[in-house]
Amino acid sequence: MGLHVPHTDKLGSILWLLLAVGIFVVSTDLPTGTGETGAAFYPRVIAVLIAVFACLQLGRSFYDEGHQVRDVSRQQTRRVVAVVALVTIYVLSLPWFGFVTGTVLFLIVGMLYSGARSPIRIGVAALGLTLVLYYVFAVLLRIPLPESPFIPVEAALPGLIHAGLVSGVVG
Amino acid sequence: MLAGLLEGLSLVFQPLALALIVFGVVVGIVMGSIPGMTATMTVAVLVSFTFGMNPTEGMMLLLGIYGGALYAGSIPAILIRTPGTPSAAATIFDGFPLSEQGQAGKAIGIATIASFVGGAVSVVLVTLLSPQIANVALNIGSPEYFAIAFFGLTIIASISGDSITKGMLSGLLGMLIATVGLDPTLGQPRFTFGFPELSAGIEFIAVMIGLFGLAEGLNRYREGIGSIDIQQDLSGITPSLADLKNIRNVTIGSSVVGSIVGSIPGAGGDIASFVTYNEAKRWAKNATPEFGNGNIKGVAAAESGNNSSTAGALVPTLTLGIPGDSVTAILIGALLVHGIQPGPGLFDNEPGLVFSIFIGFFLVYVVILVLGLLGAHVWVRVINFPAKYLWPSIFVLCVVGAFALRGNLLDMWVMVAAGVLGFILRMDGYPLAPIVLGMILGPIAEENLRRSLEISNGSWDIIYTSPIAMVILLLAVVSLVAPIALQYRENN
Repeated sequence: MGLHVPHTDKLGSILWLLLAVGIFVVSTDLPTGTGETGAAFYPRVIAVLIAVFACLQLGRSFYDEGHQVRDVSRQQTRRVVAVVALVTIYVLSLPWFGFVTGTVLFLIVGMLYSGARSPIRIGVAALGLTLVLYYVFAVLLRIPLPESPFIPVEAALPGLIHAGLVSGVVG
Repeated sequence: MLAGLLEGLSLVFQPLALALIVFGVVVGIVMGSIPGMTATMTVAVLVSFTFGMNPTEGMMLLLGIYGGALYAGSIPAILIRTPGTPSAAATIFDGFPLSEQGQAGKAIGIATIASFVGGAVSVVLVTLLSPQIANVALNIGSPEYFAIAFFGLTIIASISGDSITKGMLSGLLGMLIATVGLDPTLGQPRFTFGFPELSAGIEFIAVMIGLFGLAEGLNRYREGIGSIDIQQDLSGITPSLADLKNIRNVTIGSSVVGSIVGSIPGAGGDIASFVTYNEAKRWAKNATPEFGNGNIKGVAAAESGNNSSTAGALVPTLTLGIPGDSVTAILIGALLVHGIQPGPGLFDNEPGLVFSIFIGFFLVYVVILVLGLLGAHVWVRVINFPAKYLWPSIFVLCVVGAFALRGNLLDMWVMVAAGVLGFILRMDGYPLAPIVLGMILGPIAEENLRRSLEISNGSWDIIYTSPIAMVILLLAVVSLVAPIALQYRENN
């Protein structure tokens, strides 16, 4: 059994209307002492427009019932949830594992999940891409990437890459 | 103009800038050749590579990717009836029949020549016209600018999806997201909920990467990533003189029409290619073979149309600061990262950069011509690249790209949230392009609306009494109402 969502346009319109109301409620906290062009003014203009178009969509959904049911199979739901979970864990892991370890682990798990089975290809792809990205961002473009406080791979990498390049050129 | 042109030449003809053009085109062609990898997605995922470069170098790389990906979309369209990018959808009509007749090489050759002509003609037109438009734009005031931003949003919403209401809601969501952070006029925190990280606002590029990178990936996994295996032998890629003569008029005509269509905000390569294909079909009386059965004019019209729209899209982007399509929205974001504000002032403040963009884009199409004709055998093999290795790598690029923006974790979470939201919205038929365009247009509209109201002491008369603003707002209303009226007429 998968996910069956009927009346998606009606449901969507109600969510948009709730968003519009939410903007009004939240914007009451904004200082408005400077008149109608205060900080709350423009978000409220947007909220009104959202409400207008949500009402139009809601009205339309009553006479146009076609394409308003979404069916997503269990397999499809599982695949999407798994990918979101993998990416979320990857993002969560970066401050702890650092870019290099976190990315290599994510790529190995991600490629295995996506159907790759060759350990050599997975290993080469995961390590190769991670090192290329590290080199481009951290070394070439000088954009710092997350470093691990526990596994100091990033601290040692520039020296290792330099040594590798030098030995490669000299060798 | 001449001084700017010379400065632009000196900026582009540097070893690194030229190398970045070639590298960008190669990356663009590789990514665009893989079905499902759109030009927008490729540019969004790779924009982070430009953060450490100077603006000209960054633009060369992005323009190379943009042009390369758009061109390469034609390769899988011709070979496997699956457009690499949505812009290449019209190329299928005659490209795939040619492939079925064993003339895939000829179709790719024609597509390459037409792409080059489309891009080159368009760049020349844009180079000549843009400075004049920017001069006019310099003289318009806040009410007119607000009207232009509103018009941009409505026209984008009305042509970017099946439902205008959904397009408008997407655009308004983008405008709402752009209000997070400090109020632009008074500097008061808005919707920050006590998080100091949100004071700087939600990073537009992080949202863009999520919407076009992660959301696309989630959609691919939902459908099943699968794999493609084609073995095509290409021969006769370089078109004969007779073929070139045959497509000459249709290619030049489509290039001009595509440039005009591309300059309309929101009307990207997909719309341009369908318009030019249909026009070519309408004008070609008694064509042999018929359009749809492998006529090379069909391939030429579609490809010159979509490639000419790219430079066309630069017109509103550079002259008004209003993105012509999703990719130019990312270009605006990339320029903003470097502290450069696109708009009419750009031609006065950064003439070298503006002309380097035009010159660089012309060179992009020269490189496409050379690599397209010489490397076709290689690009064909790229279609087989296994998705099981590709998509996890793209997710890494999404995360790293978001982090590289400001080096904070918030942008990564914004990217993930935008990806999930984009996936859900797309499943329910909401177009994603208006969200990012709304994020660009929203602040322009707010700043100019509030400035106008301040000038008039809160009276909306300042907008009603401006003839230019009223004409533009009327056009905005027409762009919303006309499609509904046409649909109603069709139904009855």
